[in-house]
Amino acid sequence: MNIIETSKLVKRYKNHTAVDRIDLDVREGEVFGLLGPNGAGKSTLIGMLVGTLKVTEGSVRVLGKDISRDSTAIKQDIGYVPQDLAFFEKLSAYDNVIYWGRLYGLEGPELKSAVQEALEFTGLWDRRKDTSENFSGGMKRRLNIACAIVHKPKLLFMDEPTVGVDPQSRNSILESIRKLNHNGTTVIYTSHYMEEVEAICDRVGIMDFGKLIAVGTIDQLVTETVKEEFATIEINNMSLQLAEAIKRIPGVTRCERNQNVLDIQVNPAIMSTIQLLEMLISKRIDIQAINVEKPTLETVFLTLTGKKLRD
Amino acid sequence: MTVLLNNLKRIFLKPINIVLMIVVPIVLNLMFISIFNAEQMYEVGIIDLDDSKLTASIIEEMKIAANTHEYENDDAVINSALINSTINMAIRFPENYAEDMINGKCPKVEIYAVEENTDSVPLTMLVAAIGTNCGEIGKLCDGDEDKFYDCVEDYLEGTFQTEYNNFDLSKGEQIERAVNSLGYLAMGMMFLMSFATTLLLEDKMSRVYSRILTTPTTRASYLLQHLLSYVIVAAVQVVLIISLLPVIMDGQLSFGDSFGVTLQVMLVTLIFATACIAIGLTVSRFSKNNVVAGAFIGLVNLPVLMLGGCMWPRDLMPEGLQRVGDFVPTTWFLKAAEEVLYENGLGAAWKELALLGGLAAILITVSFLVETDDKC
Repeated sequence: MNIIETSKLVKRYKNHTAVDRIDLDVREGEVFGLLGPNGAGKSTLIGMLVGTLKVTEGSVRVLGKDISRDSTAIKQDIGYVPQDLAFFEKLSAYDNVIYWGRLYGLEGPELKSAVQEALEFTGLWDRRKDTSENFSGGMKRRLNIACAIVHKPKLLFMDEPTVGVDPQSRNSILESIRKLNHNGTTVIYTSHYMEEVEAICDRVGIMDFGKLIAVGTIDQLVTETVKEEFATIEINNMSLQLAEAIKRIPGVTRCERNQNVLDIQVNPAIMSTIQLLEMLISKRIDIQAINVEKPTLETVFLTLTGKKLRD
Repeated sequence: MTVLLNNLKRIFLKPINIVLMIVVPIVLNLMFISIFNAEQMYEVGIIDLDDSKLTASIIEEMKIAANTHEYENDDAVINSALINSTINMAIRFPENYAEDMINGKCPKVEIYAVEENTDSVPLTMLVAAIGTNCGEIGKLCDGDEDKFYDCVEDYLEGTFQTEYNNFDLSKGEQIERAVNSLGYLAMGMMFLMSFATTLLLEDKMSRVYSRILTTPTTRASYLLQHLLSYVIVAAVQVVLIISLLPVIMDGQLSFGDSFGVTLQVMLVTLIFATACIAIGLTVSRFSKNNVVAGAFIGLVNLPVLMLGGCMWPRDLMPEGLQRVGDFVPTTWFLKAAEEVLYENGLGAAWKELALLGGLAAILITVSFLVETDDKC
């Protein structure tokens, strides 16, 4: 079942189209990564999905309901972790989570137990009485999450929840997301850290210039997007003539020499990296080392957008 | 009510807010009222060419309201002292002043003052009155010096008595003072307006506002709770200040002779406060940051306070400015308060109250209904 369905979704500001005819399905129970360079339209898309931005054209169904008609009911079951630390720094961690719990309609013993659960889940229960302005960056990030999960949402939007935290806190946050997902929460996750997306996301959507240019599992995206193979080969007694000769082999699309090392890109439809190596060995080329690079999400992103994610 | 309760917590947890909302308006009131109520001591130059018992008595009498300084009979020195404001006026008693008085000739003293300056008027009138009355006593005493001085002594004691009675405030003066005091209180209300702006913008800048909108809380509910929290704060402020000020001023200030009138004054002030809050809410609703909001509030506050008569009486302003002032909420507030203080009831102030309520209603409606995208 799809927990989010958008059809021809458009958001236009005067002459600028921030989101352009997006059809997106997010399945219940998955962690969906949303990637895109700055200004790609990710935040605008999320704004429409959580009901804070009006839709210009198209439709949005969240949790099986139309956002334009049932936004209050939908909001009851979604959580939102913004990129900014959006809570009251002068209040204690406990008071903050109480506040957000009440906004989601929790009261009395149910509220208290939910707050305790959220603070324990994020590892802040022992520091619940401390004013949050005295927290470290990682603790503030965790409090930001606690405020969003106090009501146990079915769908959780997380907009770069690990920005500016140390590796230990990041791991703790990623582990929390896995646990939440394991407990049944569907997560929409945006991040500039490719390794985080690779680590926790089941499927990924890549946005650029307001369009959703690719959606799928990481393996699918790699297979479908990256058509070439990459390898570095270290050769003894490397010469300019040899490098030029390799470059002329059909299927080799790029060959750059750096002293004894060749950076090679081949088109597997014509010749695979293995076939190239076999050919070089049969010609008695003295190969010292080989490194075949596995294409990653970063490669996919670079191929599709022409930019690195942190550009 | 979560937003409302949290707002109250945020407001009252900061001692500085309590100081600004309660203590500062009271201190401002005390300060201004003390300044305006202080007995003005005039600086008077005396050139006593007669040097008699009568002139000594008159000079002694003047000391109730003036600091006297003896001067030589030198026009240049007196002119210089007047021009430099060392003295407000100079009085020259001519030679044989007392003798002429005793003989019923009504001699005149010479009074010198800067022509455009009205500071000397009360003392001039006092000296003129004493001179005229002493002249009448002289005529009646028919040259009997002892009898003349006995009568003058009785007369001057009587003058002192009359002067004392004048210190009692008439009802009009009491109301004028209460209205002035409410003008200073209006400054506190204007502060509340800035405060409303600050909290809402704090929420906007920290993204708490847009995050709240991802919860089931609607924008209208959020804004309504903000509005209500400030109205509650304003109510506390109004009740405390209007109840405490007369006690602190030890009877020199009164917001009505009966509890009913005081209650009406509180109500009028609260309606004005609501209008101020509505202005603040609208500014913060449509401002992108504190700088824009601060600049706008600054631009609104000062002219509205000045034109509305909160800093000085409106009557002192040119006619044109008074007409402009007719369109500012501070004017409506003070006019409504004046009607209520004169015990004409709230009905007499319906026009001003309707204007204040209407302004608040329009601004609140605009804030609530105008659609804007609240980005995450």
